[in-house]
Amino acid sequence: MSEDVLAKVYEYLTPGLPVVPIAQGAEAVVFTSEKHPYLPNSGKFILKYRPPKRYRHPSIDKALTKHRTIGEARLLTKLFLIEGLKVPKLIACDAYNGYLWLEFLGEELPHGKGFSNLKNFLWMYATDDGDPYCSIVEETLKKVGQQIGLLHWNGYCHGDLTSSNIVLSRSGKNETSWQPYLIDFGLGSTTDSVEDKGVDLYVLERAIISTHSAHAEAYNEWLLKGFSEIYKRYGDAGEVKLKEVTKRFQEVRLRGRKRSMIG
Amino acid sequence: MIVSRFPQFPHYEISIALYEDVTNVEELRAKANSSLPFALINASLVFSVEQLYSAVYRVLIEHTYNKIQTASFSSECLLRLSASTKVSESQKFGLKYPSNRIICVNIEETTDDSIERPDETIFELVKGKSAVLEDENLSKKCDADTLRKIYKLDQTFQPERPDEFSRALVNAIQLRGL
Ligand SMILES: Nc1ncnc2c1ncn2[C@@H]1O[C@H](COP(=O)(O)OP(=O)(O)O)[C@@H](O)[C@H]1O
Ligand SMILES: [Mg+2]
Repeated sequence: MSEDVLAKVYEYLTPGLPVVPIAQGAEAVVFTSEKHPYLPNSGKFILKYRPPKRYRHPSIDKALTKHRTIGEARLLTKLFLIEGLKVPKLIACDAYNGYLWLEFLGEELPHGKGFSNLKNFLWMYATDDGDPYCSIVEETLKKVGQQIGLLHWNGYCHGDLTSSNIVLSRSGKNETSWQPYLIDFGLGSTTDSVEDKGVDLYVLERAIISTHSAHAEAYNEWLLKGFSEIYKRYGDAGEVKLKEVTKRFQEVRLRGRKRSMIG
Repeated sequence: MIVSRFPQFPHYEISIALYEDVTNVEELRAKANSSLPFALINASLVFSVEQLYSAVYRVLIEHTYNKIQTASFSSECLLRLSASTKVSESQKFGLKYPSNRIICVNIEETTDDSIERPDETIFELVKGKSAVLEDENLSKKCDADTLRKIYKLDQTFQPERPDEFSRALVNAIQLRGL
């Protein structure tokens, strides 16, 4: 992580609000904080920062950062209104400087298996003496599929649906069931494009195949099962749309396969 | 009265108090626009502590990073609570409508960052009973229907828990005018 980006963030927050960097992506740096930006609550909070890009003209860069920060925040607020859909809570938005404060989701998996995103969760059941086909895995993947179904049915796409952008949260310490949350809507959009939906499904399928190839077939089937459940709630209209999306998904998959044979 | 500072803005002291059974609402209303340095807010339009502080946070963000917009802290508080960019709309959060439950918010820039003993006299103009500023107290007496209208939350949004209603308000406040 670049020193001057960190210095900028620390200066912005002042020493009164210490944060720890946890992830750096192409567009954003993500931090955790134990302090809430405006409430006396302590706990764990996420700060997502989009630093300036040097290769862009400063005024264009400022406008673009503002646009993307607002875009992600606005999407989160719209998605919150969809019943059953789980996304992080927006705490604050400083669009001028490119900062978003979000609720922290997930936890550390037991036995050092890492943060509870879908990727690590599946790893946990694939290693040691875990059962990769146990009912918890099946239930969780169906719920993930339902989340994507809710997102797509309501006219939204994620844009970067990898297994790290799905975080699992347990309601209680001893709870065995997990609730998936979709995070990282930096590339998300309001759209009814069948193509974008097909690509969302394809991206997740690829992510599962590449990290959990031995079980990918069953996993993807469960995902699609949960996904379909949502569409099927809406009778014939749902069935028609579901066919459209799954058909396009297969086409996208086929294109991907052709590309990989050529390339 | 609660006196606090946000960690990110150590040089601003924020004092907030809730008064009930206020007897001089007319007098306050007459003074609210001109001579009072602090904001007078109709408490029946405040559902949660989070809603209130989320707006105050936004006031300080706007004040620090978008200087053009900021008029006075008191009018800015009403503006940031409101879900609309219209100043006239934001007046609804003030004393435009009769209410004897009033929240006072004072934001003061200070040279140091220490919390001194709360200055209980800043709101002494308000003649009422000081009440505890907490979620339960606020949500119970809140006019949720009017809030729904102001924040454009339609009836398809039926939160199961109070914190979900509060979350919708914070969402609107954080994105207002952007
Ligand atoms: N709300 C959140 N709760 C917990 N962890 C989060 C949250 N948001 C982001 N993270 C962590 O930070 C990482 C990067 O955040 P993300 O929003 O995906 O940004 P990027 O666009 O850089 O991928 C995530 O993969 C996740 O581990
Ligand atoms: Mg990500």
